[in-house]
Amino acid sequence: MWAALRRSRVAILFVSAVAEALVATAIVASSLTLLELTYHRRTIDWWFIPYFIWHVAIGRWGHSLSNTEPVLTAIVERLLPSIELFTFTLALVAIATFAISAIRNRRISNGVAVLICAASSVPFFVSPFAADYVAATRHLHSPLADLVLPGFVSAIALFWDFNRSYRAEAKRTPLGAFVRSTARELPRFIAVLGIVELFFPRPGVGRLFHQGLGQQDYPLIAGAVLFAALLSVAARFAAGVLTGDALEPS
Amino acid sequence: MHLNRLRWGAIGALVALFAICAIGARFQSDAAFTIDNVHWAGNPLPPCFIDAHSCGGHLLGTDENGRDVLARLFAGTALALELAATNVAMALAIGLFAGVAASGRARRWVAPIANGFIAFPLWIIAVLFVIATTGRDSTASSWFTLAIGYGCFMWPLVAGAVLRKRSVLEAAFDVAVPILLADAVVNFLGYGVQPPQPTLGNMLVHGESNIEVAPWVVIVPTALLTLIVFLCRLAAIPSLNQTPDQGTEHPSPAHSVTN
Repeated sequence: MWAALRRSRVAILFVSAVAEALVATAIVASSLTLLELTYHRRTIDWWFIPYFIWHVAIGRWGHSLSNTEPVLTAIVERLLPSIELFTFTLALVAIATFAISAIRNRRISNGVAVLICAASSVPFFVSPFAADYVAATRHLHSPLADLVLPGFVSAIALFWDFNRSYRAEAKRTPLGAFVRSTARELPRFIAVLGIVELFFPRPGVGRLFHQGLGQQDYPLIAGAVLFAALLSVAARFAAGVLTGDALEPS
Repeated sequence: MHLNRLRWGAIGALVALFAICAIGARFQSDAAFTIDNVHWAGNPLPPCFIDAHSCGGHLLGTDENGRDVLARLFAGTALALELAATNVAMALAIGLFAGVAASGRARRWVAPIANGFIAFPLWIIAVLFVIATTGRDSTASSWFTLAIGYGCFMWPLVAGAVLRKRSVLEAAFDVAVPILLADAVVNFLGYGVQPPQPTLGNMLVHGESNIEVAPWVVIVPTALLTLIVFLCRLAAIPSLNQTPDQGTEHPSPAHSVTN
């Protein structure tokens, strides 16, 4: 049975994903241990790390300090607006990437590539602020505008890195390359969308994280950080299974 | 456009920018913190290229508190580049060691650890790290925390570059971009280095509340940060049109375990 498991690529990828999840959870647990040390000046409680990992594994993520709601429930309840924005942004980035990929066969000029690079270099926390400012002054805020505007802003910020990841998988089929680059770039997507939700009235997980920061709600902050990391680990595992090859760190 | 020339031009421009900002920060350190009591009358002074008569000799104007924007820009940029350089050095040190170790049989152990580290969005884990280690009240210790913090989470990119036999120089600039952006976000949100010490992030957030009367306080740091990120990205790409890395030449961890 052990030999069969060793031969099964999915089993190996799964073991690898579990190890990655353990590392990520241990990092968050270490941060919380440091937090305890900073604020209460006690000695480091090393047993907290396995204790935390066990509680995360069985779904006990603690309760929010601000409204005593279970952290996991609070995150899951806010997931839908974030998924909407993520899907829209990913669609825009994918369209742009496929278009550039098609043109690349005829070699686009380096000048165009430099221009795209420059547009993607605008800090991702400034452009949503500018877009929100324009939307507010021109009374553009509406449910549709609050999806389209942040989606475009995020797509511009993410395009360059996504395109590079996509090109790094050039030997694969377009769909395989797309799946792998999405999994690889997921932390960057979460980082950008987390800031975008601060400016636009979208009640997603990013906004929940900012509320947690404002109220010093440490279980909520740690829960949101851990959720983002575990999501990335799961995406890498799924991409590995779908494309038949593990994603290397890059 | 010759790519190699473009890349070295970008690296040269970054070094020159760092030198100018470091020298400017050294000689203009007082102006970054003190109010111009002679010219300032409660409103931000405009840059000299907008209104040469009322700028009071401040080339890029003053902020909402009457402090020279150019001097603050020098200080903030020098700090950001210094922090990025420290973090890149740390990421290179850990990443090169891990990458070389992972070239052998240790690959199956290093890869999951590296993937566990890069699963975090950088600014989000940086905020947690800052809160956990310093709170929000200590300038020096939070700079120290950030100076080692980003590097701790960016080493897998260097290790990945070693495994893929990519240039370490490119990997260093690849690492610098997320560090610069994450640092600006952390400061923008009010964590990290605290006022009155200027950073590109806190200059933006303070300028944001006065954008209608003093847009230059937001536009100038934004343009500079965009330029720095742009130059780092140009320095990191091996070719603008061709694939930077044509797939992996090495077997993945899954293969190595199977084999």
